[in-house]
Amino acid sequence: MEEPLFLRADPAAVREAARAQLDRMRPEQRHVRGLFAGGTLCYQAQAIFAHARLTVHSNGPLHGMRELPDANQSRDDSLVDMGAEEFVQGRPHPMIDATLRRRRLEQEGQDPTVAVLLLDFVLGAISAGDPVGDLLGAIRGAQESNRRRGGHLCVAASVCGTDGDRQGLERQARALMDAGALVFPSAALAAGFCCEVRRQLAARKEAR
Amino acid sequence: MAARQPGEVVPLAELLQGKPVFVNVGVREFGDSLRQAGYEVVEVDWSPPAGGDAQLAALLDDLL
Repeated sequence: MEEPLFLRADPAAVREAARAQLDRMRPEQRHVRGLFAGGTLCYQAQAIFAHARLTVHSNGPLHGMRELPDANQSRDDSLVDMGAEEFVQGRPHPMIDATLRRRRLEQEGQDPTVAVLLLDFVLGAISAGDPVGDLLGAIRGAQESNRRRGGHLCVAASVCGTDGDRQGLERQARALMDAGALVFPSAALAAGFCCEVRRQLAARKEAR
Repeated sequence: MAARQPGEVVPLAELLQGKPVFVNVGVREFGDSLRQAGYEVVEVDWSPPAGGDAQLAALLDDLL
């Protein structure tokens, strides 16, 4: 796989990439929305946001974060665990069945205040056969909605897996990159990038 | 459950007849609810061998 920009441990390059994303956004785009296939990486992302002194809403808030009054409705910056109890009643976990995450992604795509979508994909024997493919249509749809509004939706993603997994790490990451997503070598770094975007969005607002 | 010899084959049905003893590998907190429920939990001190990527960790630190 050709080396993505973000494999280079170069903070300046990452900041510049964030800036390039912001340049294409409309002023009302200001929120980060993380839709996680499970709790662990959602908690990790919250811990990273907390470290960056950024507060988010979540349906599984870590200490110091805010609880979403309605897990089905994001508010401001939100990191949502789509594998939480309320989403798996009578249906398989989102690592297997992407239906609810796909619908939520479509919902976020309709929200003109969303600047960044943060997504995780987990490969392996207990995951769907094509986790990225299950969301690709919704990702492209959300990007298109933003384009029609004259904006740009940044999609920051990570794929947890190996080329030994049946879904293939390279194949999954490539499909995301082909769709214009920024693919990071870890979920932690994808969350860190979103913190940087969030900071730049706040600075842009203040500068106005 | 009677003490077993290492390598002894245990019929599957017997596993459900006595009070189970749990082996918890890694994060100790995962065994807490079992301990609170009165079960014996054997802890195995383990962490993933990967150790992380120092360069990427430094990048994340820098971004935060």
